[in-house]
Amino acid sequence: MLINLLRLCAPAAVLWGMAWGESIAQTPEPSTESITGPSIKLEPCRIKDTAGIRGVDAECGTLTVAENPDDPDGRQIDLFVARVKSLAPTSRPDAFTVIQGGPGGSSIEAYVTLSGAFEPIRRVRDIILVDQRGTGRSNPLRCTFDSTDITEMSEELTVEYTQKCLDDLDADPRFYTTSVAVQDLEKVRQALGYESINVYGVSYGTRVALHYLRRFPQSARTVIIDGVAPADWVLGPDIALFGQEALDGIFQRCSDDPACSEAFGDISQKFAELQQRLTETPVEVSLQDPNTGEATTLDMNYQYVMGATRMFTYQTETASLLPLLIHQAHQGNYAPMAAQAQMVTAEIDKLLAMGMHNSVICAEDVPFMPTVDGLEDTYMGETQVKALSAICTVWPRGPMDEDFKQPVESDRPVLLLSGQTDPVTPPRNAERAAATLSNKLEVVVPAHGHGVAVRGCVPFLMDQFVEAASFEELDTSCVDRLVPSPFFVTFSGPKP
Amino acid sequence: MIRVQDVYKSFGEVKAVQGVSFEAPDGRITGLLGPNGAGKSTTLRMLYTVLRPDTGSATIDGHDVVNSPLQARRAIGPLPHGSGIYPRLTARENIRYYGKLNGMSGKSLEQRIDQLSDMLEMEEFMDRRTKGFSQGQRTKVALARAIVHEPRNVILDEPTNGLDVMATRALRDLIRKLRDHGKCVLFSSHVMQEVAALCDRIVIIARGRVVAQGSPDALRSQTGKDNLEDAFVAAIGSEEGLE
Amino acid sequence: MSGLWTVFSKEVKDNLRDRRTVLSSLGMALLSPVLFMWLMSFVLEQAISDLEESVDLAVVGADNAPNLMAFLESNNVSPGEGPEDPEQAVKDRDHDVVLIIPDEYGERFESGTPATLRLVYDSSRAKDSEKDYRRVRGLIRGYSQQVGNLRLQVRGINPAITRPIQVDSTNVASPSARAVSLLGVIPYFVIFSVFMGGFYLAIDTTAGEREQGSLEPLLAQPVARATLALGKLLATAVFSAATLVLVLVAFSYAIEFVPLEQIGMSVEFGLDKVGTLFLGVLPLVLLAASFMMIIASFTKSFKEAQTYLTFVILVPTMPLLIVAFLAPQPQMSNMAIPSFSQALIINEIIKGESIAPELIGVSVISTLVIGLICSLVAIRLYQREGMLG
Repeated sequence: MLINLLRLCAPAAVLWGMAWGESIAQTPEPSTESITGPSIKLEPCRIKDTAGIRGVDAECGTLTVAENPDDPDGRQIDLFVARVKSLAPTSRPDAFTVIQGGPGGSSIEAYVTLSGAFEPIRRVRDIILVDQRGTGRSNPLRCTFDSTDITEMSEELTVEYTQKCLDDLDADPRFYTTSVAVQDLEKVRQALGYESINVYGVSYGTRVALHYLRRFPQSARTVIIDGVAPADWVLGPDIALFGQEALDGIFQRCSDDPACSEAFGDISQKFAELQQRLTETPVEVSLQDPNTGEATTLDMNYQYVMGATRMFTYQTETASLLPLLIHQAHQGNYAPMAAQAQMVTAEIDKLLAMGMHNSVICAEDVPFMPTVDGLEDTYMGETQVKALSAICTVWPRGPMDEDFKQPVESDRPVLLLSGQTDPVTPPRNAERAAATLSNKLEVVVPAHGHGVAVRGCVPFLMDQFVEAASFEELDTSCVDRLVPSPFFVTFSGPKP
Repeated sequence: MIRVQDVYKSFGEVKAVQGVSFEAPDGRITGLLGPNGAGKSTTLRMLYTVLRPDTGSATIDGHDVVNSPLQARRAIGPLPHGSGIYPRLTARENIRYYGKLNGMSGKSLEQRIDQLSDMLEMEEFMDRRTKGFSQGQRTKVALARAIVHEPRNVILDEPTNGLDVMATRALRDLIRKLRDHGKCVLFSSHVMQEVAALCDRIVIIARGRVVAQGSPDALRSQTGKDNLEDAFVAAIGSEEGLE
Repeated sequence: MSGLWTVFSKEVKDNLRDRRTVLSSLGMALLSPVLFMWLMSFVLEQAISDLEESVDLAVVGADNAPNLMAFLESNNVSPGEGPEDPEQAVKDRDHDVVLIIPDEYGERFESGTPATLRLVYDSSRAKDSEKDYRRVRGLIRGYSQQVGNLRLQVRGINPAITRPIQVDSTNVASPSARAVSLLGVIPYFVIFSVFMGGFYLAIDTTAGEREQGSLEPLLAQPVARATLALGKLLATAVFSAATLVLVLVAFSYAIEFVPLEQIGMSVEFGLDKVGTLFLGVLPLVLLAASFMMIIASFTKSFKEAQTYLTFVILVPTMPLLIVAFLAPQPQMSNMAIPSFSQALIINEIIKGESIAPELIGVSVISTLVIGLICSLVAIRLYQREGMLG
């Protein structure tokens, strides 16, 4: 009896082993929704930040779309798409996307830079990313200019450079506006097979996020907008007005701070004097190149100070350097301030695809800029407004949805994040956008500036919000413990 | 009927059984008497086929224990030393298990169990788990188990060991009853009085050999003793190991 | 065949009533995951620093560094009064971590030379002291780095030049694969349970039966000894298999409670996985049952059997700890080893990776073959005269 059992067992064991092995070998892929339309073939790749330093393992692919949505047979462009899979074996059916600002920045590069802030979300959700058309690797509309000239740009030069950029473009720059871009995002969502997406937008990206919410409310499960650009707000004169407020705030904080005021006195006054001095007479400054250390000289005018100051008001860490830099320049040591300006401008053309930037602002901002009095009294003066207007004298104006400038109304959950000291999209912008959103929460992060996603407990708040898609259990009091970076009172740093 | 012919069994150096021959007829109680270590248990074990004789043969109702062990087993109801019933099963379940092993089943098995319960006066504890049973209760269950399949030959190895007076009495009555039903009853003992009281035939074993066998009268005349117990001692050669 | 069923069903019924057997099966099945979870939560707590947990930090000389204190506070570390003798205080567990800021800290900081401060902690208290120490040290390093970068920047030097080489690493292990280093102890528990499930039956049906005196009359019954042995063997195997199911189901529930995603790992251990795992380990059941029966057959008493078996079980289970730590890949060579190959199979399934059918075939066949050989030996042993003891 046992012998017979043996005879049966051996082949049974083999068959069984094989069948079972087969069954576990075919671990099925999570099924994607059946989609009508194109799908995207994703392959393993590595996505990097703007500087090309940090990288994240991802899957990449392209989605080909018509440049002009009304001319489907016309020129096609490739949208560069990336996906970072969640850690969980089965991801949530709704993915998470990041939309960069600028306009002109790469959302994929932005994600890599900010990835730490989204790690909690990534535990259970896939991150899907699209370089918006005209940016990153999605047919980028780049303009190249010599960075040293930027600070000496007159309006005529600006127009000349912009025209050259236009001429060199192999694209129709009209169709790179927000109204067109949101359709791309929806197509990518469908092609990747996600039920809906949770949208994070920063700076200009908040405009895209809000318009996507307006156009495709069923596809937006939650929205987080960080550094809010409301639909009915124009990027123009407010750059100078809000910027002045932010700078004044920094100067006030220095006066209130015993160490800072003791070291530098009336820094606001010193700034004004410096501005006047350099506007009248540029100074030749000898300095070491910030990267190479090579000795160089430049003709420093007020534009350098303005540019560096403006950039430094965006984050509290750099703001902490302003009084010292201003004081030193005021004393006649211009090199530190000059170097800052150099460092700031070096990155710009890598960071922004200027062509796309122009397409957006010339369709959505410049035509709607209000005439405002008092710009000349701000530290930026009319420079920005004049520069933007100059660009748009040659840059073509692209399509804009009819309701584009209307405030966005929605009942979808929207989390509005603002930095208290944001020099370009202060908390009042969020208030404005929130007025027409019925299911929202505004969070103002003290002490910080433009873009607060990585600050303090904000990543956890975002994670909780996205998971719950509601504000009920959200305790935002943890942001209140954040403080500004202390002012540098000497080159060695702040007080200990 | 049990027939043992010139059976030898050694365990290494130890020669436990050296040429034992005897017969146990049906309808008689045959006693195997001898001191401890005489080879009684070994002989019985060969009869219930748990050991095999080195040489010689034994048959149960004509079935050879070596060549037809299954048939031999079916013809016997063994009650070895120490009852060996399962403490976590009830008395009924113990008996039922053995009934099934002997090919019985269903209603007929249950009826037989009830019959045994009656016969051995076990109703009171039939459905209790046997853990904690007294010796007497245990012996009853073991006996019921042994005869559940109504074997012709019943073999008991020192069955009254550890029983009190009442239980011993009861067991003796049962053994007699079995004999009266025509069974061949073979039991071993080292208690002379018991053997004297119960047995129709006695086989005396000492040092692995049969030293005398026969009816009580035959033994008395063989040894020239009036008293059966004296006859035993004389046959074995000493009192040692006997009670 | 009815004899086989009779023996089998009696052994199952009898042993289900044995508290010791049931407890050891159930106990193993349920205790392992609980033990595992405890182990895991301990390990994970080391790895995850919950930034939302506030840390109370005793500081000596807080007045020497007000801005550093403000920075720590903004990162949920609350500076408090420091003790007289920091080292003693930490030893006495009055504090978990103490920060000492010497009086010359400020002067050195302002002069641009490295300013030292001290952290006192106790590394033997991993859960509180060491964890808090790492958090505070990390924060202070972060602050130092920030000040350092800004020092360069304000002097017109790009801080990036201090990072000449950036190492960009790619870890090819999937999140589930990374989990195996942590979860590698599961195969050990599972296979140990397979043995423990049949442990008491293996003893009971041989040495136990003999010691109790019930073996002799049983052998005198008209049932072939091989049938008796096989019935007992199958009952042992069934208990072992039942324990296997229990332990796998228990683990699949226990894993839900382990927050693996917090450390960048994940594992899928749903009921369908349980089924696959069960089938993968099932061949071992026969081998375990027969192996234990063989060893128990040679012992003279229950106690002796228990002692020997406990010792002998180490042979198939100890090497599994190697699997736990080294996580070897299944290959033709190691897949032929029973117990070891099942452990590898468990690992691969937990990882969510597929195994080549040939390798599974090797494992199944070799384990079954050895199991069958052991079964035949166990049955043979039952047929010896020496069985009676």
